[in-house]
Amino acid sequence: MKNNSPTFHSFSGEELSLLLQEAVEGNPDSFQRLSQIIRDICYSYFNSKYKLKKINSMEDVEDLTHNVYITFAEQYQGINNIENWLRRVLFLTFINWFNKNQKNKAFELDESFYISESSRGSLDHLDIDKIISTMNTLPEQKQQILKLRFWGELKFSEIAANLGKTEAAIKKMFYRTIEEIKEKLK
Amino acid sequence: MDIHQLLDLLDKKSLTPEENKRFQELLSGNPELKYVAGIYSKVKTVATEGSHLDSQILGEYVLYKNNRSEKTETLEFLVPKIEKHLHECERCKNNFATFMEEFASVDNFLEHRINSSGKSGKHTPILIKLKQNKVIQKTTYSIAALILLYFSVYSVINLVTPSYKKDFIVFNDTQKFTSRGRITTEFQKGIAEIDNNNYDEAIKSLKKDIKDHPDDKTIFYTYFILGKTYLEASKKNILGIYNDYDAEKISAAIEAFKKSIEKNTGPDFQHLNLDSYYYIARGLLLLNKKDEAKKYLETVISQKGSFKQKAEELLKVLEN
Repeated sequence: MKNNSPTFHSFSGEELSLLLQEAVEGNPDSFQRLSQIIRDICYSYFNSKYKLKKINSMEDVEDLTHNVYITFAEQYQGINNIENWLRRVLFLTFINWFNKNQKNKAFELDESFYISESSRGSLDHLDIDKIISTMNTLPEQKQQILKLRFWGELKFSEIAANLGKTEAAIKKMFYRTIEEIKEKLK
Repeated sequence: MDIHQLLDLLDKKSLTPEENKRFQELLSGNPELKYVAGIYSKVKTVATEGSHLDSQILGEYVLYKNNRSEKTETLEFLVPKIEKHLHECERCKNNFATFMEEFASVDNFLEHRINSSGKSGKHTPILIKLKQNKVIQKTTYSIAALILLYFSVYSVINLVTPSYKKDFIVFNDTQKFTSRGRITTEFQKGIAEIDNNNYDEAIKSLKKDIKDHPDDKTIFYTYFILGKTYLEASKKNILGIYNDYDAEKISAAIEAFKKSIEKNTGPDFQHLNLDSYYYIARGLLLLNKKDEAKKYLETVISQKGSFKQKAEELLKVLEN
């Protein structure tokens, strides 16, 4: 991986678009050159975050750079505009990393919920607390499916489109998640 | 397979009479399925009532707000829910503000790295790594020794100095800088210099950032950091015994904060203006302009700035 560089390049949008077009058409040199540029841009972006103390270590800088590169290698044939793609992927990669490091719980109910439910006598606190902590231990994608299905009220087909999976796979994962919670509560 | 049938039925928004009959059949005499139905209902309650927006959804929403979303169709359905949640949930609201900053940061960064019309080329360093200055560390130890030596004198002076002139910390060790979208070489160099307590050098870099990019939409943040740096640089510590302040630098700090407020006109970072009000008040207090300072502190309190509590404490001191 590249170390701190004394200088950096800026790239013309035209050059990047041309390289992308050639890479999609199967030119390995263009793919390699474009991959290097993507790495260079990502590295300097995440490195700048490290310098601003928003990323804790150079290992994280390298991991995040690598993640974007992998995403690029997987998606480059479907990219329409490389600059827009980079903007989107750099942003989402960083905030997902940032959020993981915050270690916030994905699910929690505030006090007012318990109070209102108690007054209606409709909730067993012990069970709901156990369910919340179990839901918080689920893998990220399973949490996301529960949220999109229940909170977002999305259809399985819509969730599938968002997560890049088939409707059947999402439905299966959703049902398995309910069963997994049931098993963990035993 | 009964469990899958049950989940299928539970997942439907409404049941036909036949489905309802089947549902009742499944539950009657089968405690295991009854238990699953109970868990399903509670998971639904938690996910509906207690979900925080996950980073992917919030990130897509930020992209949508900046006209960069590629998933507009789904998002348009979710937007009213997201906005309602943001209105009610402090944690997600803060995450949203952070993510908006991050998007501005990426946007600004790519603007500098990819020219839509220009040619590729070499630029000046984006980051300058500054080595830890061990001399400063040693000096700090020496000052600490002097403080001990002159402790008695310090105690006397401490008693007669008003509290708002003592222990005024502008930058603290645990503070994490946010960039508010500023990713220029000069800004980052300025931040690196602040990190190394080289405030005069930081001022030079930040002023250069302002000179070179006067029309950047996030230039208000450079003014804000410049104000804080001037305040920090205004401190004159005499043998660790007595704190004095350079009036010229304090005035420059106040001007920088006012300029930051003037330039920060967008809706996303208005809270920063209240922070500027707070620092202006602190600067005015160091210049002994108490009445003027009070007005700024009152604004911070009435508009619930992030320094509200500190502003209230200062006002109490000033009124005693």
